[in-house]
Amino acid sequence: MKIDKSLMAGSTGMLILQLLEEKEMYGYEMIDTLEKRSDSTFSLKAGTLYPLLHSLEKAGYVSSREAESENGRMRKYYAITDEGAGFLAEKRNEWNVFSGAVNKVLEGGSCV
Amino acid sequence: MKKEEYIKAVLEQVRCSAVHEPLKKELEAHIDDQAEAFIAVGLPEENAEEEAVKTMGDPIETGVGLDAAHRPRVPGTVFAAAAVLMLLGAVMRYMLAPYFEFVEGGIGDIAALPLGIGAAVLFYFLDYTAFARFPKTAYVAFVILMGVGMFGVINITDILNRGDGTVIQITGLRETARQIAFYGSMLLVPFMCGFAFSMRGKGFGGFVLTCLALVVPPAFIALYAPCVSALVLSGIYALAVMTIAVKNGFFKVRKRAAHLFMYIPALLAAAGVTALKIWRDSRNEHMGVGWEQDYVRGIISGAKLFGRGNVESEFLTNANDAHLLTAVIAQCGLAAGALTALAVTALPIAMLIMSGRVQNSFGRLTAFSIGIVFMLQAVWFLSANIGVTTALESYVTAPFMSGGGFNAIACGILVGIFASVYRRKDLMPERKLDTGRPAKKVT
Repeated sequence: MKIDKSLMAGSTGMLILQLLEEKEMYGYEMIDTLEKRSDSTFSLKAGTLYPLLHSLEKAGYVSSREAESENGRMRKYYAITDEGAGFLAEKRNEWNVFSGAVNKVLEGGSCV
Repeated sequence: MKKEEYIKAVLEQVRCSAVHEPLKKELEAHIDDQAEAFIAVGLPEENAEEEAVKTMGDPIETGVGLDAAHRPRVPGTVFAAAAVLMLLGAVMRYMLAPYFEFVEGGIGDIAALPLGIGAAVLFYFLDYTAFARFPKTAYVAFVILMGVGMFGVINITDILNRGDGTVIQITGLRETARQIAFYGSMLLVPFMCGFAFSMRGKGFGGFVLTCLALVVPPAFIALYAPCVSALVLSGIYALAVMTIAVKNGFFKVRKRAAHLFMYIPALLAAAGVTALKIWRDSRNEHMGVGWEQDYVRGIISGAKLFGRGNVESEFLTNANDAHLLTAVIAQCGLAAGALTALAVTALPIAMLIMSGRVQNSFGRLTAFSIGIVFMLQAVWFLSANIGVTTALESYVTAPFMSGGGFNAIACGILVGIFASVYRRKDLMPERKLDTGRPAKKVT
């Protein structure tokens, strides 16, 4: 099912930080993991991912290092920082409140 | 679209050229990974790259997004604060000139301002990573330049000394020798950082060699001047650079052993310099030990909260520019003195805090070391001006505020380098500075 892009806007950063909280990853790995884990619902373009990653790095939420992979390819690995973990927790709470409220409205029912 | 065309189109949108190379590598690696994945599921090799490029999205949109993420940050407040301090110093010296003979307030101070600001702007636009490119050559070249300058100045002094009636010029040139030692050791700090950075990965031998290289040449130059403050400060600058280098794991050494190796000789040297000062003062029959500090404390105890206090002491008229704050306290009161002290220390503290936000280790080392330079000078200046330490027979300045072209240019250069680091604080990747060591393999 195709998802309206505007629904994803604002939450992509949270999803990326969630992946990085689990382990250090490089760009392609993030897109691939996100796609598999969401049953292809979240198919992120590299053109969206990299500006977002670099902005998160600038904000101090992720850090990066270059390392050579087994096939000899130089890759840039990203990891979440303590500040990023704090930011993620905040965003997760926000999301829970937001999604809970949306669900309540969608489920319908009378006002008291 | 081919891989190269896509990357070129992205990079055309990114104005900060410093990040082009790492961005190119990152995007290339991504396209290669994607192409490999397509080949693994059966796509012909010749089509895989093109299909992989298609998954990247619009290159212009990507480039615009990356450009926004890599816009340099201009530390305008640092520049503005430095300029305000220089101007404030010039105004204070001009206003105090009628009351204290030592204050040479005048047109010279105002003329030094554009020199300092010009130096700051010039070094802001230069790439600070140049200090890490040819570190050892640059360090040695700068030390030689200082040594040659010092030798020239001192020998001119000797030639004039043999002539007749050139006392004023001799004094001026001796002062110049001290200035070369003092400001030279300040400007040597970014070169020290480059040197320490270039020795990354070395063991205890490399660590010891770096310590010696950073301490011995500036110490010789300071002793040759002679300039006690340059001797003490250059030692502490080197200690600060090496402490951060060890903390950041530049050397393959046990940190505790490295700290002991640095701090025990540093404490012994500090005790030696203090003992020498006490011994020299004790030989002065008229003045005695701590006479300078006694005079300064006497002036402060006679000061009022606002306005001119009891300034009967001849000390200030015979003192030098190092006691600018004491003169402010005597003439304008303790409140004005406190505000001046705040102005002197605020910028170094801000610079030290800001240096922690620089992401790459060389930039962080350089920025922090520059902050340390200004902080130490401020601390020495303040402690000399409240009668805790000595300032005479040495060269002590308030960062930015003291007069003269040398001070304005040296402070301007260091602020420019600091700003150059800060504007690229998120941008300059470690690899660009790397000296070719292979990166760690990841499985």
